[in-house]
This record gives sequence, C-alpha cells and structure tokens, in this order.
Amino acid sequence: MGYICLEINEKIKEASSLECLTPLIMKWSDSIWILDLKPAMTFWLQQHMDSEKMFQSWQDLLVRNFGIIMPNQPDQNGTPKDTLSLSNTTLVSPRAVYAKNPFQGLILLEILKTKQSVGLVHSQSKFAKHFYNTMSWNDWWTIVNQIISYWDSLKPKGFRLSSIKKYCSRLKLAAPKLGLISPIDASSLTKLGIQRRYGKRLASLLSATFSDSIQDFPWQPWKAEPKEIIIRYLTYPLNNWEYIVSYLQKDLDKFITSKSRQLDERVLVFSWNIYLENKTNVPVFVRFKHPHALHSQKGDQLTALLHFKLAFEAIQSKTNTLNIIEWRLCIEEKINVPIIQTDLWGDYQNSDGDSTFKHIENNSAVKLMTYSMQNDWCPTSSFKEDNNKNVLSVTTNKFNKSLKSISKNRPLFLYKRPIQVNKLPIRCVPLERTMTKWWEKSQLSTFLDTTSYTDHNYYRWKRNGRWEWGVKFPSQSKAISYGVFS
Amino acid sequence: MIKYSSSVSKITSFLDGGIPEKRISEWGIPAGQRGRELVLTFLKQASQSQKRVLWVNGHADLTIFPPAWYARGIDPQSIFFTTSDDPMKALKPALLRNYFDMIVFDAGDKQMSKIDMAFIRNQLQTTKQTILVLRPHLLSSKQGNPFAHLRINVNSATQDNRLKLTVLRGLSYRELEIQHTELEELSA
Repeated sequence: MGYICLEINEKIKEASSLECLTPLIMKWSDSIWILDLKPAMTFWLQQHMDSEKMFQSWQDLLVRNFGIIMPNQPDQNGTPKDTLSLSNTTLVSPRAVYAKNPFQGLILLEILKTKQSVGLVHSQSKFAKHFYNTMSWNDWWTIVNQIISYWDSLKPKGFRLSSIKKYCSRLKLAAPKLGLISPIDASSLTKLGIQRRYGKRLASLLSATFSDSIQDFPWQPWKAEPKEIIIRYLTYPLNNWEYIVSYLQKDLDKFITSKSRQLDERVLVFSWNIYLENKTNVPVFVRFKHPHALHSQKGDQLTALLHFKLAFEAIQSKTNTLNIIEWRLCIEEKINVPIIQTDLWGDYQNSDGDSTFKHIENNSAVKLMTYSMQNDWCPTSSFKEDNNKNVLSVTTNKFNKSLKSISKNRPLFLYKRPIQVNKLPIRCVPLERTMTKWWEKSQLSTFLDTTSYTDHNYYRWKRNGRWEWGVKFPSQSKAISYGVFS
Repeated sequence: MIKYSSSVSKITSFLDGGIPEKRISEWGIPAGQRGRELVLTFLKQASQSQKRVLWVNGHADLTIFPPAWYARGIDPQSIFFTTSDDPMKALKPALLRNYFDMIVFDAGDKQMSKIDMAFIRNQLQTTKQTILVLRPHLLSSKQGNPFAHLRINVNSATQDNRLKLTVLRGLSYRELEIQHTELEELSA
C-alpha cells in the first residue's frame, strides 16, 4: 500500500504528532521513522479522491508538524525571489520518501541525504527515479547492514548471523567480478539464482530493491504513548447486551475525559479483552470503517456501541455461555487528524471531508461497496472492490471493449457458492468459451477435478423457472451453475 | 410530478414519463426472468445525472457480478452496493439522512413488511429519497399496498425473449411487452 520514511533530526515536541498519518509507526533509528500507511490509506483516499491531492496533503501535514526552516533560494541575480516577503526563510517538509516498500524508501532517503535534498519525495517521480538509479553499493549495504542488525536482535526463524555475514562477504567479492557496478545492475539476475549462491534473505532484499513488496522486513511497532487501559470489574456475571451497554458507554466516555486525549484523535481499532466466568479470556478487536472521533458522541457513543454490539453478537453466536465478569478496553490504533481553523472567531472544524457518508457507513451494520473493473479474461477476477468510494467522482473504469461485449451475456448476480446441477437442462444456449486459471485452486475443485479442464464452456439454461449461467462439462455429464440472470 | 425517466424511451412513455421521484415504487419481479435488467434502465439515467444510488441486495445466496452491470451501461463505481437480510435495521442511518437520492431494495421473501414501508414513507417527507422495492414474486392487485405510489409487475411473456410489464397502481391499468434486445438500448 505504501510507506513514508521520514527523517527528523530535531527532538519531536509531541510524540503523538507522528500519528498524524497512520497508527502504524516504526522507529528505525534515532532520526528515521517509518510510517506504514496501510490502515489509513482508505481514509486518505476518500478525503482527497485524487492521489496527487492526497500526496499534497501529506506534505502539508509534515510541514505543519515537523517543518524545518530553510533560507529562500536567491535567483540568478542574487536577489530573493519574493522581494515582498518579510522574512527570507520558508518552512519546508523534512526529508521524507513515499515508497511501495520500506526498503526502497530507506535507500532513497539515504541517497537524498547525501544530495542534501529536503521535502517529501514520491519514489515513482522522475526526480526520485533519477536518484534511485544512481544508487551505489555503499548506499545499499548501509541499509542492508541495518536490516541485518534488526534481524539479529529479533532472531526470526531460520536466521543465522554467521551465515548471512558469509553470504554478504561473498556478494561483496562477486559483484565487481560479475560487472555489477551498482545494485541496479542486479535487476537482470533471477531471484532463484541469487538465492542459491547468496541465501534466501539476501535474495529477498535484492529483489525488494526493484519490486513493490518485501519479505521478512523487521517491523517493530512503536507507540507514541503507553496504551491507556480501562478495566471494568463486574459485580455479577453479565450475558445480556442490554446490561453490558450502559457500562461500556461509561467506559468509552472515560477515554474522552482522560487528560492525555486530544481533540483531533480518531480511533481505528479498539481492543476489548473479555474475561468469562469460566476463567477464559476472549480477545476482541473492534474496527471502525472510518476513523471515529469519540469526542463527537460524548454521552451516548452510538457509533462505537454499534460496533461493539456487532462484535458481541459475533462472539455470542460462537460461544454457548457468555457470562462476562471483567473486561479491559484500550485504543489499539488511532490517528490524529489535524483540526482546521475555519474562521477568525476560532470556530474549529475537523477535516473529515464528506461527513454524511462517513456517518452513514460508520453507523450501518453492513459495508457499502463500489466496484472497479479489471482487464482480466477470467469472469471472477474481472472486478475488485473499490476503496475510493465517491459516487460523484469522475469514474476511471477501463474495461476493454471485448470484455465489455462478452459481459453483456453474463448475469447480474452470482451465487455465493456455485451449485452443482446433476440433471442437465435440455435447452442450453452456448455463450462463451474462456480459458480457466487452472493453476489456481478454484471453488469448483470441491465438485470435480478442475485441473483436467483448461477451458470452460459457458451456457445459459432455464432451471426451475430461472435463467441461469454456468459451465457444462460434457464428459462428466455435469454442469455447474455460477449465477442467475436477474 | 417529477419523474425518473428510463434510458429506454418506450418504457418512459409507457409509464407516462417514468417512476415518481421522492415516492415508493413497488415492483413484482420473479427471480431469474431478467426483469431486473429493466430496473437498471432507470438506474442508468439516475447515475448519469449524478444522483447517489444505493442497491440493497436482500438475497443472502447471491452477490453482485459487476462486469455484467458495467456491460449494461451502469458503472459499478458510481453505485453503492450492500447485502443485508434485515435492511431496515442494518441501514437505518441511510434511511434517516438524505445522502442517497435513490435506494433500491432488492428484497427477499420476508423482507420489507408493511410496517417497514410505513416507516420509509414517513421518512420520505424529510429525506426526499426515491425508493424502489423489488419483490421476488408477482404482486397481486387483491392485496394492495397503500404506501407504494406505483406498483408494477415484470415477468417473462409467453415468448422467452420478451418481458411483460403490467401496471397495477399509480397509473391506469396497462400492459407492455418489450424484447430483451430493446433493453440493450441502455448499454449503447
């Protein structure tokens, strides 16, 4: 999804300001922080509806929270550009890199450090790509050595310091002999070949230099402040939501009254540890669809209680007796969305964007979804859930013409589980023949051996008065019904 | 009265301009007879005029197949979908606020009782939403629904490639037979 590697050389005034973009943070070194944007990416996308605007807002946030003062650049004549400016300094974002994986981000940050460049840089920008391609083995080894020292302290499964050191020295010796002037030259080497000679971990790091993902990154979560835990001891066991809700509401309100809480705080995940009468412990994670402000619902906490109720009902359906005697409540993930001053008289507004939609989604027991098309010939892979939910935005669906024309003969609804039809319908209308993704395990494998079918023949037939859409297998005299025509 | 027109002119003129805005329309569409494709002609027009549409799937065994919707002229990126067997409970916030302009309840057998319809009808005065309730069976003129402004049955005609529309309430009694190929006008 994306990471921001951030360098802050000065002491951070408020540790919680690091949570302005995401709740997942790692302290890489004394001055470098890694922010994993995954949990809050949907929120940011929905705020701005445009990746460019989203990137700009991140930059603004970094400037506001950790901005560094830089002198204005003089123009060619030696006079400052903005002559009317009272000050000859500007506040700029600290050195930071947005990248698909943290390893690439750290390398790019290291390169930018040597070039003395500041500001937030997108790893896919021309500027960043140019610098990334000038990466030297020294830059690469600096970050690799840091990762190895993290692995050494974490001791992941199968890790041996002596063997990785041996592989490192072997690669250092071999690189000039193989004509690899920089790690970029290694992009032509296959991962398997590198793995055979220099081990799995070095191969994974070398491939992460060029790809979007990384395996076994030594992630260590960091928290701005110790988690505040609210403990509730019940005088007698409770199993009815009607009684639990009043205690829970009081506990949620306690989070607001706590002095350490800030107005701009939005909760993403609550951890609710329930202790039962039979001395068992049930850990529950209550997730909000959108970051939720507890302050906004002081006194009733309807949104939070709805989510807790859904979680409670889910446990109740699994457990026969749910006699709760105690629980511990804490905020597991949160972000601090900055408050924007909207007028001179001090009226503040939280920058929550389209609040009506967020209110509806956060207060509904079901998820609202939109879909985007994928250019994939396989019917079940030709769409995906869309995170950028804004019905009035300009649609960006690109579905190629032939796939669109084939889809005219496909049904509006699919069965959640395909249905096996043993008695073949007499009248079947042939619609399309599509190659299967035989290398992937499909739902059909429960009905028949799908590996022997590289093609699927789709038909339309009428069964029990319904027009259905499915696949016919003549050799096995079977049919699988996939969907129904509206 | 302002009406939502269909993307197929024949249907628009048959319904004297379309389905009424800010009212409840009840549709009897037996499953599997391709009658919902006719409802999509109204959705297409609504989403093209920047209206916010929510489709509530009440059939627990079915999911939406977005490519087919896209091929029929509806961008699944511009419509919200959800599945719920108790939409009145699960989607109450959507019914209490005027965020969505049109909500389509593709109801299961035991969903959307008369009490639910009465509640929605009351809310429409403030939310100004257009509600479509699709029943999985044909509607009967003997058992009326005072909360629905328009009641229509859509089922396959004697010939498989035709749909038959019958108006039960809201307009004078009338019938129309339309070919599936004529509905393809909507995806053009």
